[in-house]
This record gives sequence, structure tokens and C-alpha cells, in this order.
Amino acid sequence: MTIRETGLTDELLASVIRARGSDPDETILDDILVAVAATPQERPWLPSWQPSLRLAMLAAALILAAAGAIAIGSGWLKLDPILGQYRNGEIVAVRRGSLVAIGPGDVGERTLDFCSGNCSLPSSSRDGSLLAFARSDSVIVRELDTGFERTVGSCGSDCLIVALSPDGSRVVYANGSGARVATIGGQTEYLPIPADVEDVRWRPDGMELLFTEAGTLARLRLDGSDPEILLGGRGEALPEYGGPVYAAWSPDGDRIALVVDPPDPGANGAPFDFQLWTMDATGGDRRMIWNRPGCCMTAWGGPTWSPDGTRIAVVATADASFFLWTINADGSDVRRSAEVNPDRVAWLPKP
Amino acid sequence: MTNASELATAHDGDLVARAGRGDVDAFEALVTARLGRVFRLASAILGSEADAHDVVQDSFVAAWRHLPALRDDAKFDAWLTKVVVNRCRDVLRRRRRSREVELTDAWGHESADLVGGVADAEAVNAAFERLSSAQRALLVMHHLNRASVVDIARQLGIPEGTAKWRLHAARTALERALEEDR
Repeated sequence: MTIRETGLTDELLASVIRARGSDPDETILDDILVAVAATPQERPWLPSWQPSLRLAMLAAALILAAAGAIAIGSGWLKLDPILGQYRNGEIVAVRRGSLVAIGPGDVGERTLDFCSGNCSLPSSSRDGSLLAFARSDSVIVRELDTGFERTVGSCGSDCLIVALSPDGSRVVYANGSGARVATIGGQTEYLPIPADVEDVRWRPDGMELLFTEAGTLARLRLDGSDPEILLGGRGEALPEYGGPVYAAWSPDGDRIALVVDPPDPGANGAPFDFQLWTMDATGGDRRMIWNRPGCCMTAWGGPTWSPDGTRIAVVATADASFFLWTINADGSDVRRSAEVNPDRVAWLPKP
Repeated sequence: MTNASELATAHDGDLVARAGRGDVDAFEALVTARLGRVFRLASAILGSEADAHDVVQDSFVAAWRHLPALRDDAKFDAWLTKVVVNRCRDVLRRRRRSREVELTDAWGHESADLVGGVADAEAVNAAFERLSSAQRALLVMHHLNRASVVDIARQLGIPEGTAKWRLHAARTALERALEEDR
């Protein structure tokens, strides 16, 4: 597209921006100081005057990682012994607040009648027997066969994250002011991750979480130990914008798919870009498998791997509407599917 | 505790260092000196005083929380700007998410506010709303704060050439958004 003369001058642009930028009211300084008084400072976990200790810990971490990689590579240690037994079934997505199950290959579609008008954020257990989702501000886990439902928590306001563990025993949920993990039928605890975390996904063995926050992708154990920043913010207190937005572990735990929100505009100057990447579980071997610069495309809800680990589903825009897309994990065979809401999707195994 | 006369004569680097050690008075001095600039930046990016209030408050609290990890006191302003821009991006992302039903309207080539090829302020403002947070931040820093490309590069921690190109691209994106609204 060629730009025609729009008459946009520097003076006009500056006056518009000046009009948008207003002065703060008198209360904000007090608000800040009250909040600061109630906020403890975070001390670096290793002081900068101990470089030798940092090096020693880095070396120990590398040795442990290498030992783990050898153990997994040799077959001595396997993350999930039952992988490979699932075939790809329906994809559960959100449309106008209802849950819809879209058939494999985009053939057939049914509306799940237990959620109409106020549901979002579906995620499933690995065997597909349980589906977690948000209904209004409640976090629900439902047995798909029996229809038995359990309310496991309340977000108190709009839920931003609902993530069911692969074995269906726990749910992580968050509303933007803290993430909690609820054990089904048990207790609920706050997770030791940033309060404004944007997305949380489970490692297939349920031992670790993958989370994104302000452009940083990190993994840690449920008890908060062994945190590791995989992308963005490494060595910085806060990262630059434009990092990973959403990410998900592949069913075998070997790779991570992530949606990246690049800060640069697209090739034709359109406001949104979209990139889908995969990398190994330590942040290495990064491959951009789908790049749609400037096609007015953005994504919400993040990637979801197929049960057999061969394909990735993501909700992204095209022609000013959101659609479900699926793509092979190597970047081939991109398919646009049904129009859905910008939300997370759950990919069920074939019964 | 630090007395007022000490704070008045303290250099920013000293204030940052003191605040990093937990001195609330030093941090208040840092906030007071930057509040107006930071609020105008956030409100211009977001187009909402209420959202800007939340972003600025969250940013200063985050800055307070993470100050002990700041390794170079001289980079406090660049770091703070980055925090504010990050928070604005998050607000815009959540705003888009909660407004998905308005997507068609927002991108639906509404009314033309260009008369005879000349843009008016309302049209420019509407087109500005369609830019990404990164593009908004660049244009606001350049046109509101009159920051040079060198200053923008320093504040965002990117090379000058990258800042220059991104600024040009942001302006082009705004022109295209205006053109599409015709």
C-alpha cells in the first residue's frame, strides 16, 4: 500500500501528544509513598562483590544441567513414560463466552452446553478427562465424561490465568494481583512468582511451572526453588519490552513454544507483529517457525501443543477478527480454522 | 533518615544509592523530581489519566522494590523510563484483551476525519490509539519530551540507529493508520 498525503505535520502530532499527556493530580505522590512504605525492597540473591561464588554456582548449574541432559538423552531418565500414546482430538476454544469443541482437521464443531456466555481460559488434563476454565470469576474443574463439576477457587475479579496441571490434580489461577495454586479438594497457596504474571503453563510432569511476566520467560519449581530465567531480563532487574508474551511446554517436555511480541512495526508499517518460536527447555536452539510481520496480526492466549506434540495451536488475528490457527512444530502446514475469541485453547486427545 | 537540606544538595546518583539502601526520603526526592515527566509520558501513551495513575504508581513501587539490584546508579532514569513503558505495554495488552468485542469497530475503517487530505487532531488521536505501545512510547518521548534520537536510544538502551529507524517506522505507522481511516 502506498501512503497518500495525510497532511500530518510535526506540529499537529506534537499538539495531539501534548494534549494526551496530562499532569498528575495531587494525590498520586501520597499514594506512591504509602505503597512504597508497605513494600520491602528485594535484595539481589547474590551480592555483586562475590564473583567467584557466582562462577562456582554457574559451573555447578552447568554440570547438573549436563548430567540431566545425558540422563534424559540416554533414556535413563524419562520425563513422562506415557507420552506418545495420545492422538490429536478436538480443540476447545472460546466463542462469545461459550466453549466450543472444534474437531480435528476443522471437521465438525459442537458447543459445550455447560458454559454459555461467561466462560474463558480452558485448559485440560493430559488424558482429556478434566477441563478447567473460568466461569465469571469462579475457577471450575469439570469431569467431561460425568459432568461433575467442582469450584476450586475464585479470582475475585476477572480471571487472567487458569491452568490445569497435566495430571488434573492442581490448578493455577490468577487475576493480575497474585497467582495461586489450588489442589483439587485441598488447600490453596500463593505461588512465589510475580503478582502481575501474564501466563502460567505446567511442565508435563507437573514438577515445574513456566511463566511469563513483562517480557521475561522463566521456569521454577512449585515450591519456588531453582528459578531460571530462560529469555529476557537475564542479568537485568527488569527487561526491555518486546520479549516473549506466552509460552507452553511440549508434551514430551523437550521444547517450548512461545509467542513473541516484537517492538518493531511490521514490514508494511502495520501496528502489530506476530512471531511464533520454539526452543529447547533450557532456552537454546531457538527457531522462529512463523513470522507474520505487519499483517495486522496479534495473538492472545498463547500457544497450545497438540497431545501428540506434532502441532501447535494459537489464536491470532486476520482481517480484523480472531481465528484459531494450527501449525506443524517445524513451521510447515499452517492452517486457519474457525473464528473464535482471543483466548487460550485446550487441545484434547482423541478418546 | 535524611534531613531536607542534605536532600536538596544531593546529586541524583547519591539519592539513587541511598534509596537503594532503603532510604525512603531519598526515594521521595527522586519521585518528586520525576513525577510530572513520568505521568505525562504514561498518560500520553495510554490516553487515560486513570490508567496513567495506576501505571505510574506501580512503576515507582516496582522501582523501589528493585532498586537494590540496579548496578549503575547513573542509569536510573533510563531504567525508570523502561519500567513505565513496560507497564504501559501491559495495560494496552490487557485493554485489547478486554475489548475484543470492539475489535471490528476499532479496526473497521470508521469515519474519515481527513478533510481535503489534511488531518485534524481527532483523527490523529484516533490513529494514535491504533499504534503499539512501543510506537506510542517513541513518538511521545520525541514529541512530548522533545527527546533527541540520542536521548531516546539512551533511555531505551538501544543503538542510535535502531532508535532512529524505529522512530521513523512509528511515524510511518501513524500515517498509515490515518490513511486507513479515511
